[in-house]
Amino acid sequence: MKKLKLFPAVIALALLAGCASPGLNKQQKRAVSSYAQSAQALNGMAGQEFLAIRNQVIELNKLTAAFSPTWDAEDKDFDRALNVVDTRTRVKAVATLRSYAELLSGFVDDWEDDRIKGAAANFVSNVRDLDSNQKIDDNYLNVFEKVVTGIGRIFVEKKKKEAVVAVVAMSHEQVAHLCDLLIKDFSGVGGYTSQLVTTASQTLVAADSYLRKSGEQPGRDSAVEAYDLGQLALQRHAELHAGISEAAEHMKQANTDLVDVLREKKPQPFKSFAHFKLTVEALAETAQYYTR
Amino acid sequence: MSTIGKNLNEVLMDTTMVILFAPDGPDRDKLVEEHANLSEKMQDLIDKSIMEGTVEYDAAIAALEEASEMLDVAKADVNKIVGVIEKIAKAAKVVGELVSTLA
Repeated sequence: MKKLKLFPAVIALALLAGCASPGLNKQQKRAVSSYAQSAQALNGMAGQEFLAIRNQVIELNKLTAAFSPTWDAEDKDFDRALNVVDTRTRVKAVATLRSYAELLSGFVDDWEDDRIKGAAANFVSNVRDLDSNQKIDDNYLNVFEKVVTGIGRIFVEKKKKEAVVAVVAMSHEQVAHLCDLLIKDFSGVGGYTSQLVTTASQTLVAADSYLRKSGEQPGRDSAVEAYDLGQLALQRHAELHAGISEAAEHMKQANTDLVDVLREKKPQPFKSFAHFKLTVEALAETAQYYTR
Repeated sequence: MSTIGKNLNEVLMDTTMVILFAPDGPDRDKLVEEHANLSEKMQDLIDKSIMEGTVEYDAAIAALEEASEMLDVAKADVNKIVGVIEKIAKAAKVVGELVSTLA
């Protein structure tokens, strides 16, 4: 009888211990939350932009083919270097970064543990699905899964903290690598946006030369449209793509700082989170202009 | 730090703008030719890994920076495109040499 009475008390004590056990402090929660929100927004925009860039390259080349004699009528290579497979590969990479950010949100937004585990499984599956050049050694994923499934019903806050510290530390290298690829794609030569710059520049010059010729010409409407679209594409690259590249650099830095914040190593490392947040907010406004 | 990607994108975009505002004539036609050369080289670099710090890489950066300086002059006065033609031709040649090291 005594045992039966004691049992609820033991449970209550255990729950109290769970509540009182050291979870993430306010600053850590704020850092994780800010980082996760910015990372989700950035990678959502980047994913849409990969698709938009490919569509623009196709549209520019189709318009140019309609008026320029330099285009071989049989040559239907309208997407040039941006084929479907390469585009899908890039979209997968930003989806991976997004799923990582969603998982982090779960730790600070009081998600049910099953939902957190679902987000973790999604991230793990995305990482496993990455191409070889995108993936860092993924042996850590087995340990990663164990850490996340270890979140139980008691000592929740303590276990959540242990899990988020481990998740961020284990994913750090992979996230940094994907950020590097994003930076290259949106600013570097050989990157994805280089194709848009090359195509838009060629289209603009071809359309301008065509429109300078006097008299009515059959391809005039296409040349006018190509000229406008080419200008918009270069403007989009200079404003939006440069912004995505810059934000990806901030994400990489903030990701490094997050490791230290969670391990309580740095006293004031919050500047990078603010930079990341502000860059993404400004970027969202720019993106709205180009996607309306 | 200068990277070839940023420089090449900017030089190609600036050359495009100078061509759009340049008066008709043989100088513009010549610049259009060199623009086509440079954009072909840029096309060849897409999806390639470029090692920084090689002789060819540094030469390409230097040529693009020289071209960029002349483009600034031409952007202020579109009648001054003769100097740009020479620099873009040189940049296309040097970037072409970089491309050939990647094959």
